[in-house]
Amino acid sequence: MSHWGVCMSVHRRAHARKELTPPSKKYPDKESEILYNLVKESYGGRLTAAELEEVKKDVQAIVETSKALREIRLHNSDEPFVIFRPYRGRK
Amino acid sequence: MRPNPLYMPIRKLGEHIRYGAISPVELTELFLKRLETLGPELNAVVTVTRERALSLAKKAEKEIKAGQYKGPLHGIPYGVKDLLATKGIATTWGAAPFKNQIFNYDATVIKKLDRAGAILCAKLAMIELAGGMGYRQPSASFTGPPKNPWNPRTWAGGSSSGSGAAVSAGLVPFSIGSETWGSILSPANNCGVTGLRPTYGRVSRHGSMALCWTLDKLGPLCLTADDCGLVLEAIAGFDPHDLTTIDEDWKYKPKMKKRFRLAVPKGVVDGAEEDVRNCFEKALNILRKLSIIEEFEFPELPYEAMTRTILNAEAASAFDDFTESGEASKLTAPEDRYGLYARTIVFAKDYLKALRLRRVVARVVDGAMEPFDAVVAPSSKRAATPIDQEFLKVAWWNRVKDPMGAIGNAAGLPSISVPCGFTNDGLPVGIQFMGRAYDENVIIAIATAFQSLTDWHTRHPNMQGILNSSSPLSQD
Repeated sequence: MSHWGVCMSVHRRAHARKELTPPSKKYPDKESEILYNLVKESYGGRLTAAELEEVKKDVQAIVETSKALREIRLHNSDEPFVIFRPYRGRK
Repeated sequence: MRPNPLYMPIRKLGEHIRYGAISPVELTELFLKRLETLGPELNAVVTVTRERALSLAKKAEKEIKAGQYKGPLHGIPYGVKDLLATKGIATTWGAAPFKNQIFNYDATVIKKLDRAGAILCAKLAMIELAGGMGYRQPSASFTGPPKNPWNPRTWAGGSSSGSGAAVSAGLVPFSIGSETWGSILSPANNCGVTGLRPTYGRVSRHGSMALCWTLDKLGPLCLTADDCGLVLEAIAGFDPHDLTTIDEDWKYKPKMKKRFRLAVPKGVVDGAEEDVRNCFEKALNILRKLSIIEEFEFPELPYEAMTRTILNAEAASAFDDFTESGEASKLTAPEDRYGLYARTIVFAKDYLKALRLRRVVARVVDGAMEPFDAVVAPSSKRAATPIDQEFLKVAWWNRVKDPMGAIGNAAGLPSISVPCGFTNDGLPVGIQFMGRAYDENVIIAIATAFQSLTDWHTRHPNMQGILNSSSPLSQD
């Protein structure tokens, strides 16, 4: 198969995954605001008003990033790319 | 006539040392002087390890004279990014709150370089906490904004800033940097040196500051791709103290070919500076002499969202105690003082989603790259930015579009950046070759072939303008 063939099949696979994507979960429209308030509640005492405004933008960006990830549908068998091995000492 | 060791590649320097034309002690003295005089001018150095360096140099000289030559790094001075632990010497992580931090052991990479006979001369400046707090400006370092030897009014790049500047300015023949997302390729690009980001797990991170456990990598910055191969062979290999390391030794055997097959991602120069685009096009024309170049498209997936989520979640955990302590308020860059707080709200399920997607991405990208020896792209879409300006108006980890970096770092792929020209303002521009996992010998071969047809890597900044006239420096 040519490299274009590989690319095309990959595209189709990626596309197919997207087509399988169900409608997005209904996260509250106020997700950013709720999460920002959590950060403000936890750490607001340390930050100035200007810094809190910047934190608010950062929270919004993280929520947008998370939404982009949530759009992708994975199979139940798609495990995290982390390998855990049980530990046992020598004795 | 005595050879001039300044800006001499490691392989040649090593031969001169082996056959007695260059003394490791004299060589070390030369670079220590340059580190002590030019280093502060560039804000490139945190600590010069003079005592340790001279002790190692004398030992190397004695061993070589006794016929106990260890290899090409024996007697060669070097520096490390100041996030690698050194026994009894401060390891600051580039950050004021850690400026007095001292470990009682050496990082594995330093132990390996010790065993190869290399001589640690300096702990080099870096962006505070390897840029993990979301910095947006060159001054995000407690040792001052790292200056670019090509133009001190511009930035050396980061976060391995001093590692790039020190090699570029001839303060050391090679250095060690780290990359989580862009931190080796950025200073290599800005400073006009060759930087290698190895495959994830190729080099032990034991003794290195952790920013993101599944993204952090250590690699060399050198004058040539060949030098990167020599250094990588010395530092690669399994380490029981870092179980992510690959369970095999790595030998430097560049896989030369009559004709390489290279892929250029569609739209890879979109948004790049005109000078960068021009240099890249000219570099492609040179590469056509030794390769077939085809346009290529990465499958459409949210690479940046995936890598960013991994980075945000792991950095939040790695610095959890630091966040809770409130010590971030002592960091240098204002944005670093609050950058971690937002990251505390990444959902566990979103982090795990990113790790699950990572497996898919690794397979899909490897399949797409399988017909090629490497993917080629500009190392950065721009040359060095002004030293006194924010390089982004918003945090880079939120806004930067960098699919090559997002894919390469999340999938753990090796990449090498080499100089490929200059802007009209005289600033270096880099080109990167990103290979499939474990293919360092392939990308080093391509980069070496490119450097055999170009002389960009043999050009060096004029340091006399930076140097104080009173300096005792000698280049003889």
